[in-house]
Amino acid sequence: MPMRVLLVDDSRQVQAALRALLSRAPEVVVVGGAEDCAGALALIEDRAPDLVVLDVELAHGDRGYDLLRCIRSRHPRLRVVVLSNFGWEAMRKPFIDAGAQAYFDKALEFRQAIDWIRERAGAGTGSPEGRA
Amino acid sequence: MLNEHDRLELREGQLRGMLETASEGIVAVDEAQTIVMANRAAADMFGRRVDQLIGADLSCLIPERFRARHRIDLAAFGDAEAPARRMRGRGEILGLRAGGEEFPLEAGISQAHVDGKRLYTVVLHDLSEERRAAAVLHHSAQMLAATFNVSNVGMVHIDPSTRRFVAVNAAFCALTGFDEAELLAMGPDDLNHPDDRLDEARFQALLEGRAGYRFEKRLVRKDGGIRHVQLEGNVVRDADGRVQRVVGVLHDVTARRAAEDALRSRDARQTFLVRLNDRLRRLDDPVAVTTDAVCLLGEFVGAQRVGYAEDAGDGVTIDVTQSYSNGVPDLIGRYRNEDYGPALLQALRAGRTVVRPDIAGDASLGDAEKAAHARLHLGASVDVPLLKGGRLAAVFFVHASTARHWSADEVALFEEVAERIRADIERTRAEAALRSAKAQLEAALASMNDAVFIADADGRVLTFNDAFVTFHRCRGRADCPTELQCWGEIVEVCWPDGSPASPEHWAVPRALRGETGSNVEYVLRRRDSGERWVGSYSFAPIRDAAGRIAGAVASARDVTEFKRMHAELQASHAELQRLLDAREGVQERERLRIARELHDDMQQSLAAVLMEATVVRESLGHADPGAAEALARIEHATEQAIASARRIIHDLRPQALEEFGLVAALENLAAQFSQRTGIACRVDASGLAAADEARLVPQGTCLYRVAQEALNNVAKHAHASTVQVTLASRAPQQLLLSVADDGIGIAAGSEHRHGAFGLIGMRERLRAAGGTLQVHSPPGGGTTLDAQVPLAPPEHRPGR
Repeated sequence: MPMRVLLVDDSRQVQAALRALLSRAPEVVVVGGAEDCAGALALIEDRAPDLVVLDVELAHGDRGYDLLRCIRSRHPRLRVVVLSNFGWEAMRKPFIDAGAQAYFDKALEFRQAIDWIRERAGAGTGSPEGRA
Repeated sequence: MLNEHDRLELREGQLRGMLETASEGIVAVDEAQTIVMANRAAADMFGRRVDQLIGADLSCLIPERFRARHRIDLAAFGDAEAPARRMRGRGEILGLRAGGEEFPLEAGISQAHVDGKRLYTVVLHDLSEERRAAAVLHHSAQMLAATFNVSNVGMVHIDPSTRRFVAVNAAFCALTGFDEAELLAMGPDDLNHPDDRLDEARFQALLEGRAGYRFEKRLVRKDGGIRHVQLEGNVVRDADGRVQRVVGVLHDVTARRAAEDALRSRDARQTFLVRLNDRLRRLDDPVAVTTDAVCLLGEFVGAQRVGYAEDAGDGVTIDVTQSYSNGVPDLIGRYRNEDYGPALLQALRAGRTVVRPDIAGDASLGDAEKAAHARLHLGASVDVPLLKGGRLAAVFFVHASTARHWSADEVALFEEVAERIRADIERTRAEAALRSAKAQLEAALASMNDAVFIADADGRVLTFNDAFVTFHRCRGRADCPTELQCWGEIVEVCWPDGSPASPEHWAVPRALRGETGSNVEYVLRRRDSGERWVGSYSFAPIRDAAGRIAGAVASARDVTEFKRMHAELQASHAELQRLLDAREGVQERERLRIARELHDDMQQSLAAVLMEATVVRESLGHADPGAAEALARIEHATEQAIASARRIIHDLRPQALEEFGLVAALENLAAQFSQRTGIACRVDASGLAAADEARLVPQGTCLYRVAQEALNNVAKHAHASTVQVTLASRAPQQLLLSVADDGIGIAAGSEHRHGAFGLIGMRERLRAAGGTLQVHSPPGGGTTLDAQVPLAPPEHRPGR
């Protein structure tokens, strides 16, 4: 059963590009895309994803960090991989500390992010461990 | 012819007459010693009448204690049948007068037998008058001898014919210094001073009794000394009126004369000095002082030249500016010290007054010197040196054209006058200096725009300038009272907060209590016009040499206008600040907007491009190597665009700051800096209190920008190898950001060369946040920037 992935990014272009990249992998299925917190939380309830690909800055001024903390408290089993335009290490730590499984630079590390997702999808869904 | 009876009668009558007229007392007694006959002389002698004596017992004429003895003696005399004898052998016995008085008498007794009865006849001679005369004579002789030998009055007896001394007393010997033997070979003119010879006419008059003889004259002693004596001559005549002796009495009045002379001279000197004092005291010019003093003294002592020679200040040249001269040329002019001659100069420099009574006869002077002195008509001189600080400052000189004896009194007077001249010259010079200083002070005060006033120890305002009048809005100086309390009726003095300031808190009383104030503000209000103004006062006590407060000086400036302008300036500055802040805010918001757009749109798009390119590459596989290469170039260009966009975004807006706070943002900044420049950069926030970190948001941007600018400067100018960024809490409620590098440092004064705009920008930024910037650059190199901001933001700073 393929891994259900929810994309949360304020850019439709990015959502589309990620969807194109992930849909090439049979073990991954993109179940939806949201551009802000409210949309993301609604889709999490509705589509029950296994993993959320999360941007740092969301539409309508929403913050990815806030969404991460919300997911951690409401859906502790849901994995989150952060795909950020802030490519620096200082930013990584707070997200990991807040419960993100992985943190990648959106422009420069998206291939590693895809690989990381596919790796986790191949090893089976629902596994809580991830790259810290 | 006379018969026997008649003869007897006659004889008795004759006897009776003899008895009655005899000066001796005659008493006849019988054997029973009853007085049978007594004459008048006897009665008078005993103070009784004749009839009282007749029939009385003889013993009533004899003092009680001798009566018994007398009776025995008389009986013995009768028995001896001696015809006559003097009574009591020694010839002198005592009688008793009726009044009880005893008196000496001489008595002779004889006995006769008349009609068979023994009859004694006693002749009595009263000795009391003789005794009295003898006593008086003896006393006189004693007195005379005593008087003659009185020690302090000289007495001589002169033989009027030989004019020689025939007797001299010890006092006269002492007076003249000769002994008695020497004097008895001398006469008056051997002792008289040549000018006080014996006045023959007067002496003759004395001898003739026509005139008294009383003189004051001088005697020359054996040792040559002079004695002033008061002489009184008297003559002693014999019974015939011939002059036997001239008696001279001489009082030594030398000491009295000297005292009188001294007194006269002292009186004159005193009078002169008082006159001199009066004259000099009124003068205020040193030249006039000298002129008057030398003229007065010259006239007073009758000198030919008097002057005051003053050292010109170089120790070599002397100036005689004024001198008194009478019949001789004056000495006004410029001389040299050496003109005094070496001996005189040496003495004067040693402070000794040099008295020269006879220059022409002075053996110590050479002919040339004498000739030089003669040309100046200089016969005698007194030179009084006046030393100052051990140096010869002036010489006061008195000259006589011929030899002259200068008395000690005169010399003392010259010294005193010299001292007075010096004192008065110094006084007048000091007064002139004082006047000049006062004039300068007044000129200075007049030129000042500030009100300046000087009060005495009682707080009376004695000196003030015109600005003082203007400051108090008075019409003229006359409107300005002296007494401090009067000012309270003119102006109301308040503290800056408007509460009244009581007079003891005004500037002058405060200064008089020893307080010094600077820029102390009072608000003044005229009670008449109501005009208000603000005075900024400075005041200080004036202390005398002993440190006691002798007065106060205060200045006041009307700062009303200044304060108004200052307030306006502050308002305008605040306005400017608001504008700056607003601009800063606008700028920051604009940056945010641009950064967001770049971030949201461009970066996202570029990321999407890269992703899509990957999709294309994977779809393409190895089918078209040319397309794959093109795709790789697209990917590369896109990655570069992303890097640029990220740098621009970051410069515009520290996202990390917003996302995760200042520490994280600084760490990110440091990492980027190191990456870009190769300079090691570490961030140390260990000194930051946890509570403070949470409050950093308002100041975060400011400090972050400062750090950013500081690191830019380090990169551009410092040539550093490491940079340390420190963030620490500072009490109270302050935050310190420190950026320290190990570069070449900023040379002193070169702030305008390196990173000048950066520093100015940082300062402005910090000032807006209520903070400060300090730059330390020790000579050993390295630069440390300390930016400090308060944790609580300034009120006027607009919130974000």
